[in-house]
Amino acid sequence: MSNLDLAQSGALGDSRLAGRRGAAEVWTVANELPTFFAVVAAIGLAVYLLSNQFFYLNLLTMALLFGGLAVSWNIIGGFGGQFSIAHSVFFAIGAYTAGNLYKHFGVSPWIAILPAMLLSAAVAAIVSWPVFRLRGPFFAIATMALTEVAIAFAMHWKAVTGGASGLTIPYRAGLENMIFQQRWAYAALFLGYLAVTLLTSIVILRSRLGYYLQAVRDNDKAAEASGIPIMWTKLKGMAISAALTGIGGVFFMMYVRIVEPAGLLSLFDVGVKIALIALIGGIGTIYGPLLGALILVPLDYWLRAFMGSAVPGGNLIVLGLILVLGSLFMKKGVAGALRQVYRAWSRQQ
Amino acid sequence: MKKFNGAGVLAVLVGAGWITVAAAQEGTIKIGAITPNTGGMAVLGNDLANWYELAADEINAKGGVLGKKVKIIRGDATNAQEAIAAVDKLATVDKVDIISGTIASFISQAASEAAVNYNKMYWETNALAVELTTRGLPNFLRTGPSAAYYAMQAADVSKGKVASVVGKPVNKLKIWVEHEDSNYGTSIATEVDRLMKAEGATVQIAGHKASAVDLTDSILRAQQANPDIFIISGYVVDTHLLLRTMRERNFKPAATILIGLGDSPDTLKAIGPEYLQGILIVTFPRQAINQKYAPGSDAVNKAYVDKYKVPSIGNAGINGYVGMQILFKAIEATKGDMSVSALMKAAKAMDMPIGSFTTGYGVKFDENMQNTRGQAVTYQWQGDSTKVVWPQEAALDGVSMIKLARP
Amino acid sequence: MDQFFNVVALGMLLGGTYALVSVGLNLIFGVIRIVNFSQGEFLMLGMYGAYLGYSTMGLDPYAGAFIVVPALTLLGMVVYWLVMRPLQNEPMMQVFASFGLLLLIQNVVLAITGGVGMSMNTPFSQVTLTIAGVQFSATRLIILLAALVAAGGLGLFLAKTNFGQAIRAVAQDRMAAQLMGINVERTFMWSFGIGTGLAGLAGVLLTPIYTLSPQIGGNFVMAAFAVVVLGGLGSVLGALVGGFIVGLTEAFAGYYIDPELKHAVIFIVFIAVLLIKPSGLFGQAGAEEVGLREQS
Repeated sequence: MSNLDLAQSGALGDSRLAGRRGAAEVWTVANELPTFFAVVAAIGLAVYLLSNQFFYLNLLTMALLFGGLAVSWNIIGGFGGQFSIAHSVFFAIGAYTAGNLYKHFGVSPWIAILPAMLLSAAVAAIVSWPVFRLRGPFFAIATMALTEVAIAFAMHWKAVTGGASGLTIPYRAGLENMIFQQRWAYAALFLGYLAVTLLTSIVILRSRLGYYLQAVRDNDKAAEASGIPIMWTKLKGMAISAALTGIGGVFFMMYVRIVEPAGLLSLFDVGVKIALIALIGGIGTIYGPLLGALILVPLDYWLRAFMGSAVPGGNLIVLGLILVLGSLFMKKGVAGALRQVYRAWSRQQ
Repeated sequence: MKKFNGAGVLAVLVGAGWITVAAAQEGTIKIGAITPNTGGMAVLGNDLANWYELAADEINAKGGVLGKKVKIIRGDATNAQEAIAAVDKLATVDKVDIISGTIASFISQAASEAAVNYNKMYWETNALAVELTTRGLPNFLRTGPSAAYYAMQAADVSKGKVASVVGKPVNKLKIWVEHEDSNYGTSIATEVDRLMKAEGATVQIAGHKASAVDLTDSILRAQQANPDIFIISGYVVDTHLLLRTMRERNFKPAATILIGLGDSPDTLKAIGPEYLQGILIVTFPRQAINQKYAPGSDAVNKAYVDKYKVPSIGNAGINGYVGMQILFKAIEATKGDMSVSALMKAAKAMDMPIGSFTTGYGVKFDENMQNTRGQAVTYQWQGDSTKVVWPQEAALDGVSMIKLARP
Repeated sequence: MDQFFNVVALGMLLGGTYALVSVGLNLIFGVIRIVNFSQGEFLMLGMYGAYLGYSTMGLDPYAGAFIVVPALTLLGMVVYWLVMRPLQNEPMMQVFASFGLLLLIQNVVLAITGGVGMSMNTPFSQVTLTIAGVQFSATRLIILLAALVAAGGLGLFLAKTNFGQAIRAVAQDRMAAQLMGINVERTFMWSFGIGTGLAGLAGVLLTPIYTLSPQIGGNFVMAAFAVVVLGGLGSVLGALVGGFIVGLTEAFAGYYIDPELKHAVIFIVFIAVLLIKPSGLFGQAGAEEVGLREQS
């Protein structure tokens, strides 16, 4: 849970491998772009193929949303090693910003993206500044406390959040309202979101900030000794991560059109879930969090649709079992498992 | 990952998408039922779906609706995004004709809008939020009462009976409404507040978290306010904790009203008959009710126990059972046309007097498509069981409200 | 003002509850450093175990503790051996697995019970003592006493016995402990088991007060995580003091501010304390790193 254990858990092989490879060949953003475009195109193709299969299209849509959220989380949680479970707070800020601007001032959600990002980043910087003094489990549990405070706050600030009954947005389809009748449009929207988060994450990983974040994660004392401004690095990472999460909130608001504090700020359904998705996929890697989302989210929804009605809780029993077994058989996450397979395969060649 | 091609993984995932389910059965009316089936609301969701199935069984035993069998297909959702997924699944995989539900209002809100995409009727029986019917959604109506109707019954019994028993005119009554702070408890409390303030009573509403470990602070505050009527609108766990704390602190307001629950054998077990004596419960008809007011309710409650081997636990389940029966009548009226426009038109034309159904409901929709002829009733703990005491005509012969003020 | 002492008493009793729930968590999360999200589920199992004994055999929950606590200790040991031990070098995956366990255990209970509330009403649970106008519920007093005994016992056990010292040694430096001839895996298994057994004890003692639901464990454990961190990871005294701080804060905030806001106040106080003392009240500076450095 601390910087150290993250580094030593080995779940991060990818970025460090890249670093090692850097000795012979410097990896730049340009090197990453072909893979990036291939992944986005592949998903785009999947969206196209599924565009008339609404149930499965929706699974993919949700996977892309949570993929984007997990990739955003990964910037501070994976690269920076700061295990936040409070990202639901920034998600909620995005949703409430867009919802209120649209509902009360008629501002298009497309325009609301900017204030949502700024607000999420600002709140993230303000609350993180004190909390970043804490390390390891202290930091994680403090972010849990932040979620609790945020829920109480959202319940009480009825003018903005609608209190317990939630904030609702009328259904008025139109591109300018970001409300679509065509289901593939939402899939495309969330694919766009995912692409933005992936690209940001690629740029950061190959920038000074990315190397700083990883240095802080791997050994903050050594990082400090080599002149890296630790607090500034963490704050920057957190602010970018939160701003991206806020965008996800904007899109989510326009997708469900009703949000209420208990669901939006749910510790397990949002805050912990985002982190777990990144974790099972491959924390600290670029595509690991996406991989986690593409596996975990459809699995969750599929089990709920086809097993949820037989016995109360039946779907979650199966999901729980899969999570336990998954962690036992893929100790380094899915990305790690795939890498192992790839290595074994290339040795054979 | 770098050298690994993401497309391969995707191909597998996409492949899963092609699994399709057998084509629609001929000659059945398929009704999707969206209820929460995991988490804290699972017990209520499961109960409601049980009642839907009971209604379907009964009509099927009589030859079905227009000769077609009715099939209930359950869908599971605990939040808005899962509600959308549940509608997708019911509409595209199961190909249901009509969608019904729901326990929680935010699930209903999201699910009913998703149903618009498929041009499916959303036949709401149970969600409580008043705003659901005022959205003007073209495919939405509600057969059961909104939160307002729970509150109306609480206000009605306070005004019509409790005030005289307490010995104060209504405008001198002091009322404390203690509610759990999610949408459910809050919306009922807000309505009680509005209705009783309109009668001139002094009302204070106070919230608590349903997951709180201790509620002594809430009770101490209420105790200090010394209300004549103490109203609790919460879930099971917190309502029991409040009652236990009241018993422990010897807090005995002149009247205590529980909304929506508190008449189960488990409440009796948790609190004991002694403290429960005289406590009122606003809920739906279950037992010990005049069969003239609620025709057949004894029989149907017995049928539920026969089918599921346990008594119904969610008090509003029977309200869903009646909602299903109203739907069957509407389908008969459209001669089997299950399009939104036909069903809405048929529903609008319905005019059945109070007392037509087992809950004592009639049918008459208002301009927002909210059924106006449905109301809750008030039970009271008397001895080891609960008996209907209000409205007067619903009470069994010889049963009346026992003294509320307790030593 | 007349309620002031009642609120203090309430806060102390509530503090006892939080302290008791935290004792087991402190051993698992604080000492052997496994972030176990499913701790609340073990507590919940303890409650259902006590209820089962009560409803089928008429067993008083306090007597039922003698069956339930060993059973949950054993279950915890099995869970450690099958799930946590293979992941001992992957602390993040342990978090993940514990979340899987949370879903699994909670929903198995949901599937079996249907989520129906279950309560008991023992004669003892209705007893309250009134001393100078201040009320104490007997069941809560028992919990407070149990918290003191369990914390004291655990403190002595860790400080004085060979096995307790082995646990601390393993937690601090696994490699060195192994070199000293300590069986590391066995030590961890026992610690985890004792931790879940203590969660079971808390569950059993809480049963007479609450109506059971499969989700109830989480109500206690979120606060317990805060308590353990507040007191300082691994500090038995810290968890006790932390429990009372949280209990008193909750009682005062609930009564004098607003019951709806009390959780927010607790967590604000929690963050504030950590900002002043980043390693908890009784934690050693740098305590957050102990044990983690050695795990790979």
